[in-house]
Amino acid sequence: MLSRTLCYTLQGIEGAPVTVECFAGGGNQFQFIIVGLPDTAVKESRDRVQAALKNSGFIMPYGHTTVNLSPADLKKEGSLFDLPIAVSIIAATQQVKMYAMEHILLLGELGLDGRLIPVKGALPLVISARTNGVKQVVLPKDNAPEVASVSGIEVYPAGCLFDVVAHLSGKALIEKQQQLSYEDCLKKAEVSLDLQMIRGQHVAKRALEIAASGGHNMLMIGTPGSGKTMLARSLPGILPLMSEAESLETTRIYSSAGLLPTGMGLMTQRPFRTPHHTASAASLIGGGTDARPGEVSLAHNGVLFLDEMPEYPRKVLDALRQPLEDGFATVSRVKARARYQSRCMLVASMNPCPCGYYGSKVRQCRCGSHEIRKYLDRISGPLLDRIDIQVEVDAVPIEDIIAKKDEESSLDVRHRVERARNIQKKRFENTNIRANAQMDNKALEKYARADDAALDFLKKAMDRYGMSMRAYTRMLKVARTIADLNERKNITLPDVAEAVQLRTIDKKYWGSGHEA
Amino acid sequence: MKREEAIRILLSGCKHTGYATRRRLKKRFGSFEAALENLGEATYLSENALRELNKIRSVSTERVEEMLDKSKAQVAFCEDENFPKLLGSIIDPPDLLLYRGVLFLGEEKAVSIVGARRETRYGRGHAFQIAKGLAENGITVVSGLAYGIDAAAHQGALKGGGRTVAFLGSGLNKMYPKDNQPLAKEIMETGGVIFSEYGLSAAPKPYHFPFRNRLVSGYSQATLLIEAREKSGTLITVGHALSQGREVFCLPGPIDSATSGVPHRLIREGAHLCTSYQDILDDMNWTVSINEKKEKTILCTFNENQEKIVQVLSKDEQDFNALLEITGLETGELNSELSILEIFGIIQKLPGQIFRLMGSI
Repeated sequence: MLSRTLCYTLQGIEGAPVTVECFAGGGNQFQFIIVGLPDTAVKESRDRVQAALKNSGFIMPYGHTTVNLSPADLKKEGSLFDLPIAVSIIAATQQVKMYAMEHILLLGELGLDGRLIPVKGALPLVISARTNGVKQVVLPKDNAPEVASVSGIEVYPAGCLFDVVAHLSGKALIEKQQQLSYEDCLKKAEVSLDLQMIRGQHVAKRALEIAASGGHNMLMIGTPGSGKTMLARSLPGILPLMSEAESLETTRIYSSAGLLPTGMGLMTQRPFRTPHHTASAASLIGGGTDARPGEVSLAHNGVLFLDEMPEYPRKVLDALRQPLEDGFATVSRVKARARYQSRCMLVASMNPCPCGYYGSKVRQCRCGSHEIRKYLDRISGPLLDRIDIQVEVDAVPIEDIIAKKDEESSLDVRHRVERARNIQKKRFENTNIRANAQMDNKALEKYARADDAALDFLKKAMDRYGMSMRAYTRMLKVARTIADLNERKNITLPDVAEAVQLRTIDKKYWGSGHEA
Repeated sequence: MKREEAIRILLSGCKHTGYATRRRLKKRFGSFEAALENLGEATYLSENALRELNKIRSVSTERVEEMLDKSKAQVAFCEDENFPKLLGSIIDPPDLLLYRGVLFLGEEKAVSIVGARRETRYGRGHAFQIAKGLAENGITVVSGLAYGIDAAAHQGALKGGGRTVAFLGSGLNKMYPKDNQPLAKEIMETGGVIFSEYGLSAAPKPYHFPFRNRLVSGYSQATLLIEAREKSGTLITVGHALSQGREVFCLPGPIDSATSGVPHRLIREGAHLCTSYQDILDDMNWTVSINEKKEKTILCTFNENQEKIVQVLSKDEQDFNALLEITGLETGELNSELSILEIFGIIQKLPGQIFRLMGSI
């Protein structure tokens, strides 16, 4: 007899439909083969399925059994075919009569005892299936929270193979999963590091607020142990809450990379990725034979934090430029090709000099001016050009840490950030710009109007510090964000003045020490 | 140009015929022209030197003139009128100096400032300030165009609107270190001069620098040492200064800094203690007409906040957090006020978020 079930396979963050066909019959010798470009994990499912069938009270047919995964030219991977294969064998041997199998999406890995084990990529597969008109899905119950808020598709979380068969035959239906609204998911969101926990650091906190408001990339320069990492970690907490669309985008990438913790629902917390500085270009941008997403995509809608930026190989840093600029990374390999979104904020940190103590109040720096210049030169100019805000972070004196002073909480800051973002949303309606940082020269001319005093000041600043034209446009963008935070329509002198203060490197901070 | 002069210029670029060999040739033959004609008699010449000297013979005088023109270099021979007087009086004066810039005719008061290449902020700041003070009083600042103290001294002199002189350890066309080329250009444009006793395209050989140091000290009546580690090359300059009978000044440093040991030892051994440019002027008995200090014109009127900040800073330098507390301003407000004051040259930002009034030390 012949039977068919429906499954999906992962391609990047998209799902492609796969029909699982089974033919059982004939022959007087036991034979069980799977065809249709299966990878090792799929081939091994032969053994898992046999055991699971027997341990769930079904019979593995004696004779020839052929399973075909069609279309046959598409490469299939992963263990999620276990369930549809087992179900199609049961149907083909007519052990149980089942209905409408060709329209129900089946996903799941089987344990030898027939238990259903969660698979990676459940969310992107379910979303793709929904787009293709699939109405029902049966999947392991540990995968259920992940897809709970996807609307327009009925989700049946199952515990074991027997339950699935009982459900499909109509004998004992599985309870349908309650659809969770996105707001419900948000309630469960945990709070990341709160700004309240960080004492002092007013300049850095203000810089974080501005960066978050305008989506600006940021570089923190400071002595070891001055709290750069802590400040960066608090950034997701002051960014606006993720919208449902954003959350779906990010969760999809995580799900397809198999990085979603078991039993977790949609990601409501903006991601914070900290690749180590020995990371390769492929791990940052994406790669591998199956074109997996890289760190820059895993940080989509969140923060990519590069600690000790000069320690990263220059090549790796330069590879980051395109994804940061375009908002997506295209990963192309011989056997696979995928395009992942990568709209993230880049936050980097570095020491001011090789020994780390230049400008420190507690320790004397041992570096000469030449060594310091060489250290700074490790970061390429073009990358530096994409970092709008550069700020100094200095260690907080111990008295300030002990003193119990009230610091602003992340929530208060977030409210201001959200207000500034709303202004920008209105401004950039009908354009593909999302935040001030993404303005090009044309948009700058149109939206970043500054009064004469402000422009005059900017010119003076450029003369004094010998800044480049690029620095000029960057400062204007930051000034636009500051004006938004202050709810001003046009850019005024104080806005520009503050923006100038946030460009440490352009002010040749390291060079002008001669006058010190 | 005479043939003899052309040969002397070419000889200055010779790697294998060094200072001593050249002197010997001159003594034996009376002129280099004669020496080249009778090379066979100089049995002490190495094979490399012979090859080099033979090559020189084939270069025409016109070609030498052309080369000088092309690299915009001029030449002063040791017997010339315009050769730096003081330098001509040392025991081992250079045969000639190639230079770019302007020579000083008459009595020149000069102080050489030398020190560590790996300097600290303390040393760099004072090198700058002292050089500036000297320059403002019409005294030439001499140094070696290296990183660190050398560069700071040149920059200070330029800032003070004075004349500054640099001696290279390489050819004029192979300026070293490359990073200081903009500085060299500025020196030449502001009435200073860059000297080299080596041929136009001589490479910066390590052994050039200690030898070059005798020119730095020899050019000036006094040498000021700012920051040096044990076995530092600047000690060679100090040694030259002493054997040339010049005065040596030392700037004291923090007693726990690695760069303070040497200057402190020299002070104990009898070097002049220098805490400002005035000390040098006093000890050298240089009376100078003090230039009228230019009144600083302030381009903007202060608002209330800015006045408060300036008032606080006029007492002592402060870091950002302290200012925030004292003035009671918002972070953003303070940021922009400080920025405005900085651009108008009223305050200065130091590494580590420290601010202070301009011109105070």
